[in-house]
Amino acid sequence: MNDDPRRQLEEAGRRPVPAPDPAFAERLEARLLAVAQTPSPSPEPAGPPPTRGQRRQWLALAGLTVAALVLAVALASGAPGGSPRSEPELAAPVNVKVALSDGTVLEIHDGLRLPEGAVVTVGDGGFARIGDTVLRPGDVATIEHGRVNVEHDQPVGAASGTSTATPRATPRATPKGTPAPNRTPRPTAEPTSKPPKPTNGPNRTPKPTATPTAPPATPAPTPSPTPTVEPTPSPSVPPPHLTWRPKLRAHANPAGNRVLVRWTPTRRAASYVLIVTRSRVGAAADPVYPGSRVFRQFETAPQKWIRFRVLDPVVEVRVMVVALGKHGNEVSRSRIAIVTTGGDVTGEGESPPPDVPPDSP
Amino acid sequence: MERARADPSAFAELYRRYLPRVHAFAYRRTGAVEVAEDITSAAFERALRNLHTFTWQPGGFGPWLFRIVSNELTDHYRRTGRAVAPRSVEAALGLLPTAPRDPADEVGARDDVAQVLAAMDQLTPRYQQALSLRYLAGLTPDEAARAMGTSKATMAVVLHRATRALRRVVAAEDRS
Repeated sequence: MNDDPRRQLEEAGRRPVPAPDPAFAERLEARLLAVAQTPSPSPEPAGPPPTRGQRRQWLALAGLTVAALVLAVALASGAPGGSPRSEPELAAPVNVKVALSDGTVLEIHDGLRLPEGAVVTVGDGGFARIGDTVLRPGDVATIEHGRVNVEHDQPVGAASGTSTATPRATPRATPKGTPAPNRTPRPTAEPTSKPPKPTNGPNRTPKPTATPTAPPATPAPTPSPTPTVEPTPSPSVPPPHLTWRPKLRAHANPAGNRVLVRWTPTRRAASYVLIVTRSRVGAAADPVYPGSRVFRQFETAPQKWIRFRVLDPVVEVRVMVVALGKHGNEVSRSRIAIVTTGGDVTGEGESPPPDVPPDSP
Repeated sequence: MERARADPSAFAELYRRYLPRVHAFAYRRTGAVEVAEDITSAAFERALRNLHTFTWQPGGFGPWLFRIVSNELTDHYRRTGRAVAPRSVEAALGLLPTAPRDPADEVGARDDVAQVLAAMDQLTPRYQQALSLRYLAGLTPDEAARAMGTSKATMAVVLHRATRALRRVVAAEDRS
C-alpha cells in the first residue's frame, strides 16, 4: 500500500463499471410498475431509517413505555417488585379447603381473598388456581408475604418438591397440613410406624401452623435422644480479634542479630505464609510470593513472637505475611515491614510491646 | 417527485435516470454483478413503497435514494456476515482498466484497490456508508451528508474518522 486509502477509494469510484444488463433493467422496471399498481395494504415504514436523534427519541419513548407497562403489571399482579401485600385470590376451586393460621376454615367460593398465612389444601380430584399458580390434587399452598408457596404432593420416597410462585432462596422447613414425605432421609433414624408427634426440639422450632384439615406432620423423625451440648466458650479466653488483613509487627532485637515477627489472626485465613527478604547491601527488593523466600507456613497466627537469626552482613530484612484460604488461595496480605538489623530498628511494623521478651521463641 | 407519488410512469422516469448510478454504486461496493442487481432491485422497490414518506429536500431525490441503497448494502453485509470475501476481492480486480501502462503497476494498483475495498468491510456500518456514499457512489459532500442524514460538518468528521479507521485496517493487514 503505497497510496492513501482515500485516494484508492476515489480511484475505485472513478473506474468505469459495466452498465446494467438491459434485460435486467427491463425486468426490474416491469416489476416496479406491477408493484406500483398493486395497492399496498399497509405501507412499510420509511425506507431510510430515522436519523440518530430520531432513533434515540423513539428508543427513549419505547423504554419509558415498557417501564410503565412493567410497573403497571407488577402492581396489578402483586409480583415481586410490585405490591407484595396484595391478597391473592382463589379461582375455580374444586374440593379445596382453606384454613387460616388460627385454625379457622373459610368458606370456599370463587374469588376468595386469601389472607396472609392461609393454607390451601387441594383434595382428591380437586383443582384451584391462585393467580398464575395452578394447584393440583394433593397440593398445599401457603400464602406468605402475599406470595403463593406451593408444596406438591409426591409419593413417599421421592424427593419433596417445593415450588413457589415466586422464587425463594430456601425451601420451607415449616410442616404443612398434608403428610409430608421424608424431607431429609436420615440413615440412623428408626422407621417410625406410628404417626410422629410434632416434637419441638431445642434447635428446631417449627411454626405452629395448626391445620385442622389434615393430620399434623412432623418435620423429621425425632432426633437421637442425646441432646446437643453446645460447647460453652470459656469466659476466660476471649475470642481472637480477627482482622481483615494480617497486622504485621516486626522488629530486631537490641543486638541486631535476630528479627522477631508476629501478626494478628485474619478472617477467612486457613494458613499463613511468612515471606522474608534479606539484603546485604542497601534496600532489598520487595518480598516475592510465591517464591523461594518463603520462610515458613503457619497453621495459625502465632501467639508468640517468631524469631529468626540474621547473619552479620545482612543490613535490612523485609517481611510480609500472606493469609491463605482453605484452598491455598490468597485471602489477604500484610503490609511489608522493613527491619534494619544491626541494632537500629525501624520498620512499618509496630514497636514491640515492652512485656515481650525479645528472645522468646 | 410529486407526480411520481401518484403516477407510476413518473416513477419510471426516476428509475431510468438513477438506475445506472445505483447499479454502479452497488457494483463498486460489492464487486459482483448478481449482488449488485439484487441490491438495485431491492433498493428501487423499497423506494417505490416508501415514496409517500419522502419529503422534498434541497438535495432532491438522489440522496434519499442513495441512502436506501446504502442501507440495503449494509443489510446485505450484515446478512452475509462476511469480513473479507475472496470473491469480492477477486471481483474488485475487475474494476481496474484492462490496458495498464505497466504490468507491474497494474498488479500493484489492483491489489491496492481490492485491499481497500476488502478492508472497508471491517469498518462499522456507519463508516462504510460514509465512505461508500462519498467515494463509490460519487455523491458530492453535500449530497453525501444529506444521504447520511447529517450536516455537512458532521459528515466531514465522520469521513475523516472513517478514513483514519480504514487506514489503520489497511496498515494492520499490511503488517500481517
